[in-house]
Parts: sequence; C-alpha cells; structure tokens
Amino acid sequence: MLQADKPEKGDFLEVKYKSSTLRGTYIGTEKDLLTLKLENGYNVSLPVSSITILKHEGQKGQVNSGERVNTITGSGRTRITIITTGGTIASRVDYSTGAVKPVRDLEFLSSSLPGLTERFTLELSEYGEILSENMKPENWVSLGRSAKELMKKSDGIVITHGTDTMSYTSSALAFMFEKQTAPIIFVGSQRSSDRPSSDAFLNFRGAVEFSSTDFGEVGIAMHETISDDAIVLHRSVRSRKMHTSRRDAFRTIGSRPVGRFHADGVSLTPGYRKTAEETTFSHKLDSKVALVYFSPTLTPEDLENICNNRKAVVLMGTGLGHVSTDLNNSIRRLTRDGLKIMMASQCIQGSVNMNVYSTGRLLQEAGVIPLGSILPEVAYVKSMYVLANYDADDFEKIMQENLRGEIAEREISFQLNLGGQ
Amino acid sequence: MPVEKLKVGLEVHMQLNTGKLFCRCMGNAAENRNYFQFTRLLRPTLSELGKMDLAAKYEMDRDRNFTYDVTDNTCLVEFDEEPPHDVDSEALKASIIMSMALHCTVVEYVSTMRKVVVDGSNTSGFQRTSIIGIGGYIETSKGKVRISTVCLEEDSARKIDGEKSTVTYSLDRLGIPLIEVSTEPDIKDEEHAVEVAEKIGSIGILSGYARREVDSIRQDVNMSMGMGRVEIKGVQKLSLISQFIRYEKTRQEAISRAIEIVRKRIGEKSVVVNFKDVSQVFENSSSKILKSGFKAGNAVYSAILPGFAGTLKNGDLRLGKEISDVVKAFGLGGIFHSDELPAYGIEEEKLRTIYEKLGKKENDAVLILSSPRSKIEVISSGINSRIEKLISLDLSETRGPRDDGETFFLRPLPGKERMYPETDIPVKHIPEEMMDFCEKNVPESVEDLQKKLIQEYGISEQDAGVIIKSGNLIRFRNLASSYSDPRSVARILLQKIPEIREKSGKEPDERTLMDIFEMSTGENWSRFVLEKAIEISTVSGLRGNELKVEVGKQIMTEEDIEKLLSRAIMEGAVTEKNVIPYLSKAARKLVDPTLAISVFKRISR
Ligand SMILES: [Zn+2]
Repeated sequence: MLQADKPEKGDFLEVKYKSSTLRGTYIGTEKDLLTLKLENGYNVSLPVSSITILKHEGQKGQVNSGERVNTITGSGRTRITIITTGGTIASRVDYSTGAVKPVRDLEFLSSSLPGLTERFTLELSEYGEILSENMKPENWVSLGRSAKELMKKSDGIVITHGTDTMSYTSSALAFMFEKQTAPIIFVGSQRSSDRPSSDAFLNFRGAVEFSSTDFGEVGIAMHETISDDAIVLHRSVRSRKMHTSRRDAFRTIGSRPVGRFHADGVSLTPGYRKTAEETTFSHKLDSKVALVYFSPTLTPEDLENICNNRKAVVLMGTGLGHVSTDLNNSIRRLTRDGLKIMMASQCIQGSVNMNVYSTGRLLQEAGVIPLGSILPEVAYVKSMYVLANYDADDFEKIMQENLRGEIAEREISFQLNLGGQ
Repeated sequence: MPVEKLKVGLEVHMQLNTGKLFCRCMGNAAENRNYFQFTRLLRPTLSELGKMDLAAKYEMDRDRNFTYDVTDNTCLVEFDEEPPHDVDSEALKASIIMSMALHCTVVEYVSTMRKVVVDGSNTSGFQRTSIIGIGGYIETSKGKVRISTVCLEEDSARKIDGEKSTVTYSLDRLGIPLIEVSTEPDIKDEEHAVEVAEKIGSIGILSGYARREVDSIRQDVNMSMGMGRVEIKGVQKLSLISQFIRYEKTRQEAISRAIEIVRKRIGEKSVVVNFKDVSQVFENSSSKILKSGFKAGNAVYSAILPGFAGTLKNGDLRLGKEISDVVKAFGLGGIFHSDELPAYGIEEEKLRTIYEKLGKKENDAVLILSSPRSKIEVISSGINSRIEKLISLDLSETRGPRDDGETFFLRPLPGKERMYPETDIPVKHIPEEMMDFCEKNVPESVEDLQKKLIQEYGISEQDAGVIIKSGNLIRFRNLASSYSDPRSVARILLQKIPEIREKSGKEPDERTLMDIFEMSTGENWSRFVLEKAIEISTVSGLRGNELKVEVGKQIMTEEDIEKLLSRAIMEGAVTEKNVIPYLSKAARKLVDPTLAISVFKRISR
C-alpha cells in the first residue's frame, strides 16, 4: 500500500486482493489489517501487505447529521429522572463502520416503549461515562448526592448502571438514604442495547414503573426469567448477580423479590419501607474496608498485609463461617489492635452460624463478628457506612442490626434453584 | 411494457453435518422433545442516521412476540443468554473447501458480521455470517456463472407455527452451520437456474460436509425483469425453482398490464387509500366473516381504490391478491374487493349503500376489511405503501414459496442497513495448515467425476449424475467394486432402495448389501431375484442362509417355472400373453418376468 494512498475512514476504495478485486468503504487499519465494508454490507479484513489499492475516492458527501439530544420527553403527570452512569439504555449502530454509540435521545427510547410518555414525563441527567468496574466509594457518594438533589423535583429516580457492580453501588445508596421521598431504582442490561434482543428496553420500562410507586428504598429492576415477560424489583441489599450472562442474572438471595411488573401492571409485596415526607441522607463513607475470600493457602502474613491500614475486614469464610485455625492468632492480634473483623459465607445462600463447630466458637473468641445472612458484598459496603456514621463502640451492634432489610431474618426461599429453568 | 430481459441469481444454502457453528451443541436433537419454552420480543436497531431497515420496520409494525421450544441440542448460546464461543473448525474447513472448489479467493482473516433479522427466526435478532470466499465461478452448459461470495453462517430457528401475534420456533436448527453460495445474476433462464443450483449442491455433497436431511439444502432465487428485484426465499426442491421463476414471470407481466390499465384511467396521479369505518352499514350483515369479526370486537372499514375496477380479479389480472397478501401478513384473514362482490354473504344492497356513500365511480374499485380498531392505522399504511409500489411498478420484495409453485408476499427486501460487526467474536486468522488441508480436500468437479464413473463402471450418464447428486457416490463405489454388475448396483441404489424406503420406512446398510451381492454371485441370481432378496432382507431382517431359504420360498426358480409351464402348455392353458399371471396364480409365488418369458419361449418351441 502506498503512503500517498492513505485513505480516511469513509473513503471509497477499490483494492486488488489475490486474484479478486474488492470495492467498499474504508473503515480503518489495525495491526496491519485493513478493514473494508463491501457493497453487500460485509466487512473484510485484509493484510495490508497483500493488497494493492486500485482506486481511492474521497467520501461521497455522507456527513452525519449531528446527534439528536433530547433530554426531556413525555407529558405524563409523574416525573421520573433518569441518571445515566455509562450503562447505556439505548444505542445506535453506525452501519458504515459498525460502531455502537449511546443514544442521548430519550424520545427514541420512549418511542419503543408504547404508552410510557402519556403517563410519565421523563428527564435525563447524565452522571457521566464510567465503567461499572471502575466505580469507587467516592462515585457512590456523588451519585447519591445527585439522586438526593434530583429527588426534590422528581417522583422517582431511575439509575442506569453496568450490571457487574450494580449490587455494590445500589447497596451503598441504600445505606446512605435513611429516608427518601422517592424510589431509587437501578437498572441495567445483560444484552447490550444495540441488539434487537436486548433486555434493556423492558428492564427500563419496569424500572420506570417501580420508580413511580411508594417504594421508599433502593432497588434493582431486572428480568425475572430468561423470557421477555416480567421484570422483578430486588431490594438492592439482598440482591446479587448470580450469572455472568443470563438476563435473569440478578436474584434476591434468601427471599423473594419485592415487586413484579408484567402485562397486568405492577405489584409490590407489603413489608417494604414507604416513601417519606423528607429525605435523610448521609454522604459519609469510610472506604478503609477490605473483603477477603478465604482459600486453603491464605497465610497469616497474607491476612495481615491485607488488613494493613484497614479499619474493617469482611472475611468470606467457608460453610457456616470458618477459616483455617492457622489464622486464629493473627485474627486475635488484629482485633485486639482495634480492627473490626467480620464473617460472611462463601456459600452466599444461607446464614453464618459460628456456634455449631468449635472452629467457629474459637474465631468468635478471637474477636470475629458473625454477620448472619448479610451478603458478603453488602457487609463490605455496610461497614463503610457504619464506620463513618456511628461510634466505633457501637460497630458490632449496628452491623448486626437490620438497618435496610439487609438481613434476611427468616429465610423463605425454599427452593434452592439458582439455575432457573 | 417495461418488461426487460430476465435476470436470475441464486443463493444456495447448505447445512453442514458438523456441530453447531458458535457453540458445542450437536446438529441434531437426540430426542424429539420440547424441554421448556421461553418468550422474546425483538426491536430493530437504529442506524446512525436514525434510519430503520425497511424489513425490520415492517416486522416491528407487525408487533409480534416469539416463543421458543428448547430441545436437547441447545444451550445458552442458542437462547441468546451467553456470548458465542469460537467458530467450529470443521465448519470453517468445509467453507474453505467449498470456496476453493468454486475457484474463489479465500480470505486469510475471517470477520463475523451480524445481519439483523427480526422475524424471530434468530433469538438474538441477527444472524451471524462471515465471508470466506470471494469472486469465483462455475462452468455450466450455458457458460460461466460467476460466484460473488461464499459465506459461513448460522442457520435460523425452525418455525413451528403461528402467523398471527405469537410465533413459535424450535431451537433445534438454530446455529447449525450453513454455507451460503451467492451467484451473480448470470443465470440465463429457469432451466439454467436448476442446473446451477444442482451443480453447487453437488459440490457440497462431494466435499463430504453436506448434511443429508430433508430441507438441508435451500435456495433463494433472485430475479428481476426490470421492475425491481424479487427474492424468493427458501425453495427446497430443485424442480420447483423453474416453476417459481415461471410463476413470477407471469405474475409480474400481469401486474404490469394491470397497472397500464389503471394508469390510462388516472394518469400519473398518486393513489391514496382512505379507510372509513362503515360498521353501521354491515351491522346485521349475514356474512360469516364480518359477523365473527364483530364478535371479536373488529370494525368494518371500506375505501375507494380509484381506477382499479377490473384489475383486482379479472382473468389473469390479480391485483386483489397482491393487496390481500399484505393484509394477511398483518395477521388478518384477508380483504374483500369489488371485483369479487357480491359474494361471501355480503348483501348487494349493503354494497350499493357503501358504493354510494364512498362515491364510487365506474372505474373505481372498493376494498372492504374487517380489522381490530387498534390495527387499522398500521394496516392502512401497509396497504398504501403496497399500492404505491404497485403503481410505480416497483415490485422488489421478499416472497415466499408455496408448495403449489406459487409465491406470496413475505416482507419488504432488507436494505444494506442491516449489517454490523459481531463484536463478541474477534477477527480470526486462518492458519496455513488449515489452508493446506483444505486445498488437498477440494473435491473433483462433477463433470470429471461423472466421466470417470461412466468410464470405470459403464453406467449411463444420467445414473452417474444422480449417484453424485443423491450423495450415493461413496456407497456406489464400494458396492460396485465388489459386484460384477455395476449397472445393477446403480439401479438398486437409485430406484430399489428408495422404493423399499417408501414402502417400509427401512433401508439396508452397506454391509448387508455387500453380503447379498456375494450371495447373488454364488447363487447366480437374476437381477429380479437380487432385488427381491434385498427387499426381503430389509423388511424382515433375515440374512445369510435364512435369507436364501426365504427367497426360495417366495420366488419361483427356473425349475419351478419349467415344471408348471410344460404342463400348462400341454393342456393349452397358457399363451405368451398370460404367462406371468398364470404362473403367479398357479404357484402363489413371485415370478421373475424376464425369466418366465425366456423359459416359455424355450419350451414352447
Ligand atoms: Zn448450543
């Protein structure tokens, strides 16, 4: 390929490749492969060294019209604010290059959700593009603050979020809001919205519906099964992503979802906290907390290294809440120095009980706080909140207290069925 | 008439006998069982410019949801609940071999694309497809036909039922690798199309990778006569290809004549159809269709179609059918029009009221339709865009094949705006060893092979051709080399075995056939006896000595025949004309006719 021929994205090219002549739109060159979109729509990637450019013409005047931005839509009485955090709810495909871009056009989104605009006024508020796996406690705080502000003019808040860390972020907000005037509903998608089969639209619809109820908590709205049938509302502090790719990956652990939305409308199971007259919000989190997964080769040194500079550590122990007895001395020393060490279970399902075996009793004697049925990630987030907002002396008591429904006091999920159908 | 020379191109789709393309499921379900179902909605994606693919938009307007039956050869990949795995390397090899056999340039790097298909036949809403070969050709009796591309793609889910608001598919077929061979529009006529399809199909079979099941090869026929490209999708029988092309030619010519009539009447004006609710007029009509419509909550709508009288159903002018095809596609039963009314229990006096109310003039036609109120808007816009296309003689669309050789409107042609890269699958380099392997495994051309078979075995050209096409090549070679009469082998493979299968649903395996051939040589059986022996063995399962005894019981030997005949001749009870009926009646055994006649001739002399 001649240097003078250097094409630009969108240019028309005719190239000789082996014995064939190919015509198409130039997409780009990466790792010595030139990608051409042929006239029949297919992309081909050709080694730069084995092609000759026969013809090269500039773009045929196909300039993209500017992106439509429509941050408010609908004429309904219920005002819902949608905070986007990079987990996109809608995308457009650039068929010439294949790039997928997020849509900031709410009108487009609601046009594919019939009937929504008559009942709701939807308003968009961009938190910013941030990968779900890069969300940190400072982001949780600023996101909580935006939600608190936007709640003043909204009947409900919907937050779009990548699913990977959605349970962390939503649990953090759950602890920060002691009382709230409007529901906060997190929503994501397991199939990206550039696919016709995306779950994003229905999840979003469910989230909007839940956000207009009197559910005064922080929840997660996702598919109930792998069918595009019903959306369920999980209490964020009892929820967990239990599958890497299925659209019903989110599950309420040890209990049933709080709400359900399907063709007949929304139904909520009583027992949730209702929306309040005013909001009580704390912006304080202490992030000096670690979550440690016990494995047979974890040494006392490893543990001490992780605990260094931390104020609290959640251990994910085996079974009812055990770690190797080799660690007992270290644990005793660390807790004596003021570190809070807690125990949750790797089993995820079920409750920690450290009275059944002597290993558990010894660990309690060494200062470990059993956390019952609190999910490990939720315990981790809760400790940040408790460290920052309560006296150190009350730590153990508050951790074991059911602040936001994070403790399933009666386990009522009788079927241990993680796989669904 | 703007009818131009016919242009025809083909897309031949061949299923491969490997595992599925992007997961490690088997091509066939082990059990014919539906484990559970799930449902999906599909929404077309928008292009950068906010445009929606026409075919996709059409599907969205139809507003259907989809149910999928889960079979044992499916996993989360087919459910669109897990990203695709690596491409199946056997399938990749098959597609490279096919490309090489068709003289294509094989790409060194494979890019996978998503082709948006929202009719529910793919759970993801797109079909994954990659170009493997570019720019080849095949030789035919009417010159070279250029091959534009050879693609490797996933087969779609199998539709089980439902034309209306819910459609059910089985997932068993979804993800089976398909090779798609597309030709340029170099095909001369309908017979040529059949020849090209046959040739391409036989190369696939020769490669050893083609699946041998019903509907494992499907053709799409692209044709144009200057009024836009029509794609006839999913033709399964080769013989029907020519029938469909002929049907389309007639249809398009008739439309062109019908529109000429309309144009003479209305000039260049555009036609807009405006449906009015006329339920009141038909409230107590005795028409069954309208009655049951009212019961279901439908309303009756009617509209003037200016200048169309006598073109909707009049001899071979059938524009009414063109319009009702669209209505049916939206899930309604159909539409009434003035060319066929009064009929279907619709009263003449009610029609008069309507015609008057709408202001119908002599040359105008009237449409009457029973439709749910919620649907009339989208149906009306569907009818209008159909009529607009008809009167501008743009007949481009995707049509479906019917068993009777006719075609019907399926959906608008998809545009180019439906392909974008499959981001879950990185560009894959084809290793040199694989290319080498494929090069060594390119099958001989059909012509060469056919010549070779004729030379080696002395069979007819036609038999040689059928042996190759029907996937019997390897079997034929094995059997013919172990039996002294290859023509007999050809006859048995091409006629006898299909006949036995038809009758009994059973088929002999190669090992059994070889044994029977050996027995036949030892016993000096005639062709007739050999074929009967195969049939008896297949149906009853008998082999070896038992088979020999059974054959003796069922079929007359030369001695039997001689004994019976000599007596009969002496008694004057038999002439050459009734030898066979006489014998079968007298002995209640099967008679080899050739043998009987020759015995008769010998002893009656
Ligand atoms: Zn599979």
